[in-house]
Amino acid sequence: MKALRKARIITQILFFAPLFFIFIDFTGITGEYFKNLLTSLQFIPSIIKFLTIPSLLAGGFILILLLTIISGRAYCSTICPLGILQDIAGYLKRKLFSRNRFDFKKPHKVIRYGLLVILLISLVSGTMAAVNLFDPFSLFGRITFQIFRPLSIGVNNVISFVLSRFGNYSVYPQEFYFVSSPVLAFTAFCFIGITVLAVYRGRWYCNVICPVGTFLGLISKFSIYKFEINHPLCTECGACGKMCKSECIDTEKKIIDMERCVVCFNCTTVCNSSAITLTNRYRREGPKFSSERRVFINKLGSFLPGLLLFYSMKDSIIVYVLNKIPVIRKTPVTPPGAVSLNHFTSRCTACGLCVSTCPTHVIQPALFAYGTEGALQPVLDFEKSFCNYECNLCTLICPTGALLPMGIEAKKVSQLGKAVFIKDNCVVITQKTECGACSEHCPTKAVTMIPYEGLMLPEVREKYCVGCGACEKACPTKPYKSIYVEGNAEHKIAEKNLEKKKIKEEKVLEEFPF
Amino acid sequence: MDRRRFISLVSAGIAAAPFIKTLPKTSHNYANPNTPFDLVAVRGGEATAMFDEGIKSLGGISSFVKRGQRVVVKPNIGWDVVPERAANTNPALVGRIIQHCINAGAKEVVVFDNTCDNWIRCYKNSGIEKAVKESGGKIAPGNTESYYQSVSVPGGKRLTSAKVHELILESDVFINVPVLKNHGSAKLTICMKNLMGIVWDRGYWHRNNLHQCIADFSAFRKPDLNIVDAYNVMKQNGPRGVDEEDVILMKAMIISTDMVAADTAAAKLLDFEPKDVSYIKIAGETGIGRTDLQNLKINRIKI
Repeated sequence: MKALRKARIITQILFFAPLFFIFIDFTGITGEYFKNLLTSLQFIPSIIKFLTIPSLLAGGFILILLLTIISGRAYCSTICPLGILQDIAGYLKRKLFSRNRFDFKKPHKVIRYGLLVILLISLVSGTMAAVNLFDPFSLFGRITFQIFRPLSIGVNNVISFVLSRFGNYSVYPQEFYFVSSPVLAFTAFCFIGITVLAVYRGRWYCNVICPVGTFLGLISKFSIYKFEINHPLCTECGACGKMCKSECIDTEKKIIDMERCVVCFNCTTVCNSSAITLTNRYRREGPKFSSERRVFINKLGSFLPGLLLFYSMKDSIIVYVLNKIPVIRKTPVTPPGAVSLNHFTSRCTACGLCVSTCPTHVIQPALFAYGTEGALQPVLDFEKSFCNYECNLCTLICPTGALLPMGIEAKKVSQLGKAVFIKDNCVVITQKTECGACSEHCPTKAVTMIPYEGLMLPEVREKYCVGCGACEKACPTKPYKSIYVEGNAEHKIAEKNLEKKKIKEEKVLEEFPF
Repeated sequence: MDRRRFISLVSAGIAAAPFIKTLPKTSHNYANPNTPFDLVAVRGGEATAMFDEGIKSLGGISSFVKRGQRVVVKPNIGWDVVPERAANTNPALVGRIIQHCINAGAKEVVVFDNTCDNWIRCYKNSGIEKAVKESGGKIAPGNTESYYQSVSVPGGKRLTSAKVHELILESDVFINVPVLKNHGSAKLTICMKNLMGIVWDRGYWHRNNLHQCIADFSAFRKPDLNIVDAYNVMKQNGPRGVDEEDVILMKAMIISTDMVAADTAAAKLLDFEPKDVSYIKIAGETGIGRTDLQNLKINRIKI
């Protein structure tokens, strides 16, 4: 049984290390195939992706269901990165301070099933808010990207800075792209909360909050293999109960609650008399059904009103305030491949893999960019950056299919939104001097310069605009921008800009004109 | 190592970091070339061949780069596009310039630009990062504000201070290698406009009379040598361009120590006069350089 515990730990490392890396990777060396393969076994993203673009790779959740049917919630101890993160917190506590002793606790069934029901109802009604709050993979992604990535960039930059003092520029410094403070505060709250709970209460999050844990737990009740305490062998020393981070071993009654067990093999390892065994449930007697279903349905009714209240709060999207002519974006701009607001917000679990993959950092985490229905889902932020014309990375790596894969040529004409020019805010009008920063940065020349009182004034030709936001980012006016992108609720296809003279045929003089 | 020791070491490192910056800086030792021509114009060859011929007529790169000196080469790497689009300086030319410098005994040759598009992609897709490394130069990032130091711009009308990349301030020789392009608002981008890539806050320039700022800044630190790449020239939709249809094959190069003269000559290749481009006109009038090409010693080379 010690070998099984070791195997569990090795598997954890094999899954955790690359998953952690793809979220902190600021160099962009991890390719889309690698990311897709890694995330394909994440339960909730995999289900959503399968429903969006059915494919073999998107069928990872079926494997997890099979695994759970065979051996209970092994997923939680081997594949789930948030689970492993909690184990690491426990490990560090053990190594740095002292081992924590756990005690058997009664299951919080009301909260667990209630949250699962909320999640299912919210999914059916087309909002991802509950999923985004609680999906362990997405929570892990946000924690890693928002907290561990800046830390690793800091280390990188210290190295880069020291080397550059000696004329070595081979390690490039990376810019800190801190997410907005409310977003960071929320993520830090989640991280600290989960870590503290992990240290003192083991897998509390997994066994009270996590919807995947609850769902797989229901299946685990009937899993083929389950842990059992062998009565004649047990010396009633209680060591297993103190070791159990799921707090699910009732040493008095000698029962292991398989609904909460995450199959970590800690109890079997600690048991000196080998009294805990993994046994086939169906070789002896049939499974015992409890009457919990009734409780389940009862709770559903009490959670509905709360859910409705949750919906009724909805933020309006004001980007810049205190302006002479404030920029009020009516529709937030979704990343390429999002198809439409509806497609995106009904599938995105806010894991933030697109945020960590985006080379220009224009995709930013948010709290309520899409209202409460799209809580935590990322949005294009043209204050920070703009969408690179020649890049389609985010469309290729989305674990849920909220962003559909898009070829580079298709992406280059995909219109995420349209630029809107606020003439009276523009330098050319207010200062009467040339500027043209917006047109300079425009990759399709949708923003062109037209003569205006001896100067050149920007003009937007919407049909060529792809909504990349380069103009908005480049616009130097303060405190308000003079050009911004209004999002398309449905992404459209822009026309190719073919308005040009045939200069290729023009004969170039070979003399010197001076 | 215990925790306390670890924490104290890390914090000592962080506290020490800003002071490391004050370690030895090489003294300025500008090359003082006594060249036979004010300006060299070359036509009809590959970019590398035109540079070889042009610099030979100025007495070779050793007229500008002395043994043991640190050289900074500033091409235009502003955009994430392939070399054929001519939005960035020809990578082969950048590589050849570095080879010349190294052959003349330069201690090191460093290349950077404060790019417009994502800088990693610009460096890579422009082909310049590869060309620099293959020819023995170093590529340095220009994306981080900590590399930029505040300087005052003497005599500036609209621009009195700027944050300039430390490599420009610390190198012995500064070689400016712009690409000649059409430009939406500046009309043309050549030598003087290329210097917007050595400063941090370009938005300030755009807000405060772009042309005057470009002219103001050109008095700050005149490059020791300007090499205008006009092999492939973006004639419309500049400075980024939409596709290869914007580009004409011109096969030309201008080399001069005078940015204003080089800009004037390069402008004429695209049928622009100095009076058509405000910043060239202002720079000529304030005596930063010459626009009266008829009075300059010009070497015209045809290959």
